[in-house]
Formats: sequence, C-alpha cells, structure tokens
Amino acid sequence: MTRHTAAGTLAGARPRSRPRVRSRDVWRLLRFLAILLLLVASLFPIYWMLNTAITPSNDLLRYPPRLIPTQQDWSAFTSVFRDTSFPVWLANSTLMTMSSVAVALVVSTFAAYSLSRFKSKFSSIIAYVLLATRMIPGTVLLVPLYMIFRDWGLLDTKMALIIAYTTFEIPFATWMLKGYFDSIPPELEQAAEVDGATPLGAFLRVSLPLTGPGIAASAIASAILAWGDYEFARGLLSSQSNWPLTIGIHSFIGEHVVHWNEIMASSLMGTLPVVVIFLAAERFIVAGLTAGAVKS
Amino acid sequence: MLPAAIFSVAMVAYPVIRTVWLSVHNGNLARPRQMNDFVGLQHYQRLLGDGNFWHALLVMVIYAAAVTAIAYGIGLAAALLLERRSAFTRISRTLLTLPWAVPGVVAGFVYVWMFDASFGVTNFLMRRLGLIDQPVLWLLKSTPAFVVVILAAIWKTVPFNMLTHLAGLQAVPEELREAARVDGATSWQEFRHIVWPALGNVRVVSILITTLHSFREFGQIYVLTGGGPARATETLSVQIYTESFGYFRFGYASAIGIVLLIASLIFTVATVRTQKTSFF
Repeated sequence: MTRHTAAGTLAGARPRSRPRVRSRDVWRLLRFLAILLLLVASLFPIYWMLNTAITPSNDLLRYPPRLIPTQQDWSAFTSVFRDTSFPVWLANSTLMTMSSVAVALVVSTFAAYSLSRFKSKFSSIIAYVLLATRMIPGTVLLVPLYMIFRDWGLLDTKMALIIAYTTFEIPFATWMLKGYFDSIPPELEQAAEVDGATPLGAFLRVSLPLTGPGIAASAIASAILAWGDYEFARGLLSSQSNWPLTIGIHSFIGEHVVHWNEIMASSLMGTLPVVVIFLAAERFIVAGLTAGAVKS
Repeated sequence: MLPAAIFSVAMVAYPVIRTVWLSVHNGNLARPRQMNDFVGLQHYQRLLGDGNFWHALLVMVIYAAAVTAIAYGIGLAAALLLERRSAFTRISRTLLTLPWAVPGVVAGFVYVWMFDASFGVTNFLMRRLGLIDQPVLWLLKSTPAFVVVILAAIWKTVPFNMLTHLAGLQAVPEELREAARVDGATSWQEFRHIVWPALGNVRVVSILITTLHSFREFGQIYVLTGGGPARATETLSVQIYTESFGYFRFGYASAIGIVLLIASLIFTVATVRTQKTSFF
C-alpha cells in the first residue's frame, strides 16, 4: 500500500518491517489441506486393504490394530492361490467377462452404427429405451433370466452368466457407441462411397477405425460391469467351480472363522486388473461417460 | 445392421415383458403346479398392503437421497478444488478416482472389516480421537448399519460426481468468469451467479445417474448387511432378491420389480423435464 500525501505519492511511505500474510496464500493452504483430507478419506480403505493383507495371521485380531504394518507377511497372497479355489474363480471371471464383452461389442457396434446413421423418428426413442435399461435393477432382470435359463437347462453354467452379462452390456455399449458414431460426420463415408466403396466397406474402413477410442471405452466400461457382478452369479450359479471372484471371495467370510488377510489379499488381486485397465484407459472412459453430461 | 439394433432392443424388451407376465401370474417356484396360474393384480394388491414393501421403499428413498446429496456435495467440492491444472491436481484427480474402480462388493468386504465392532479400525480410531467411549456395534444395529451402507456408497459415488463436474467446469465460458471478476465479483458471487447455473445440465445428469444407481444397488449392500439387521438396510432391490431367491415367490418379486421400474421411470422423466435442453 502506498501512502499518498500532499507532497507526493511516495513521500512519507514507510518501509515494511515484516511481510504480511496475504489472504490468497491462506486460501491456497486451505485448498491444499482440503484436497489432502479428500485423498486420505478416499484412499484409506484401499490402504487398509493392503495393510490387512500383509498382516501376519496371529496379528489380525489384535487390539489395538497396527496402523502401519511393521511386520509384513505376504504369504496370504500365495496361500490364497495355493490352498483355495481362487485360481478357478479368477479363470471364471476372466472367461465370462471377456466372452460377454466380445459378443456385446460386435453386436453393439453394428447396432449403434445403424441407429446412428439410419435416423428415423424411432432412433431417438430407441436411444432413450437403451438408456432406460440402465434403470433396470440387476435383481429385477435376474428374475426372468432365471426362469429362461431354467427352461433351457442352463442353470449353474458359465454360459448362462455370459448370456446374462451380454443382456445388460449390449444396450449399454450400444448407447455409448451411438454417441461416438453420432460425432463422426457421415460425409466421410459418403466420400468413400463416391470412391466406389460399399456401405459396409465404408463402415469398416472409414468409420470403424475412427471410433477406436469409443469402442475401447465401451469395452472397458462393459468389462468393469461384468467383472464386478454379484447378483447374477449368485442367482444363477450354485457349484463352487462356476463361481466368479465376487462370490468366491465372499465365501471366505464364513460363519465362524474369517481370515481377513486372505480376504483382503484376494480382494486386492481381484481388484488389480480393473484398476490397471481403468488407469490405462481413464481418459477414454471419462470422456465416454461424461460426453452425455456436457453439451458441446 | 438393422437386425443388430433390433436385437439390442429385444435383449432388454424380452426380460421386461417376461417380468410383467410373471407379475400377473402365481410365479411361486415352490408350488410348481400353481406356478403358471393367472392371478391378475393379486400381487400388486398384496404389496400395497405389505408393511415390508413400504419399509423397503422408505429405506431405498432415504438411502438414495442421502447418498446422492452428500456425494454430490463432496464431488462438486472436489471438482472445484481440483479445477486448476497442475501436477498435484492431476495426480490427485487420478487417485480420487480409485474408489470408483474398486468393485462394489470389494468395497463391501473392506467396510465390513473396517467397521467390525470388536476389531475394526473405525472404532479404534474413534476411541483414540476421543469421539466414543464404547465401541459402536456398527453392522449389528439398525441405524449404524444403515450409516455404514450409506458411507460405503458415498465413497464409491464421489469420483463420478467429481469427474462429471470437472468436465462441466471446463465448459463454463472463461470470458464470463473473467468479466465477473473484473467487475468486482467475489468468488462466492462468481460461483453463485455464473458457475452454479452453468453446471445445470451436469447436475441433472449426475443426480439422475447416482439416484438410479442407488435404486439398483444390490451386491454392495448385500455383502455388507444382507439387508439386515432386521431389514434395516433392505432396499427394494434387495427385497426383490430375497423374495425371489429366498422365498421363491417369483411372481410377487416381479410385481415389486415392475413397481420399482415405474418409479424409476417417473423419477427420470421428472428430472429430465427440469432442464429445458433435450438429451438427444
């Protein structure tokens, strides 16, 4: 602050004897602390998963619990693999997720393309209907599916689950991909057709490569849905050999004996694939899912 | 390609039609001979008079409202805090998205362990911080169990709200905010008169999706409490499961399901109507 006096602006100005804390810096500190608080609250459960997973067995039910793992025992990870059906469940989850996503993607890509290009007054209604499928609770969808699989003799099979997963993946992926196809101008395909390509050829060689990120995002979002499923597996399966990871890990929480380090270790291993894929493709997924939220 | 589109719609339509069919037939798998009898609106009449149904509806509404509102507030705050681009905010943003990537049932397992009455870390920390004297019987009593279920859902929902609002904030015209600041507006005024209205579309979509997701939630709640204690955390979605796979009353469960679907539809239409722009 400069002091204005009759003798001139700087006359009489005193040099400051100590620096003043600006309110802007206080706000910056508060912002930083707030972000830190959010980080702690969000990451603590994940940290606790890891902490529990490497806690030695006889320390698990110790009170007070160790906040920092001073003794690390990584054997829970290997014992889960060796002594339980975890590898079977991991294989099941992988098989069912990948199969259903593969089928769903193929169908959805064609479906989304036709909905996007062949516009009629139906196509926006259909788009709403597809979005509406996200409204249907899994437990509601489970009921007719159970009846259908019962009639077809497919209960307690992995195939039933693969079909069930495609049932909700296809509408979801179609809706997502339609958005992507909508953003590609049809002039590109028309140009290809003028050059002699068939409509199918134009689709395969021009539009499809351009929606690469969209397809990746839809695939990953669908995979995340299938990987984390619990209700369909629980309703449609009974044999332990058919269980996916979600049901399998839950079975570790027994009536009397609960090995929390094994539960947390298997949970971490079951979560890792999803987190890795998610982090690698974060940008695409975020763009895909928020595209509908922000009008560009 | 058109067959694929039709197939896509049929994949959804057929189960829904079958559910409607089931809701007007006996549908009791424990009584195979009467299972396919037509019963008209009997299931619907029954659920209107069923205290458990109304209780589950109430539980669902409170759960959805609490999760949506709180996760919205925190998500918006997180977006505002991380708006400015820097290495720190970029890393924080990625880290804060992690709860979303964790499968719902895994979140359930961790929260069951953290909120264990005797050995959980939550009671330990709360005692250390002097907040409680006696351990809270979290998942063993109705209200604390409900709180845990809501907390776990908020934890998983905040990232989505944060991400959509970060995208939304980027779409707010910077010139408008600059002009306001030049004119002497405080941060609060800038927020209230420019940013908040501009986020309207994002707000509606976020609230819609998180509410519908709350209506649908099953796995996370089920591994946390199984719907208990004493149905304290039994939402309609959970009740549909226990009616069908616990009591084999597929017809009755279908009726509840149809009611839930209609309620979701009404909510969606009502929410979308509040915005003047259309979505497609």
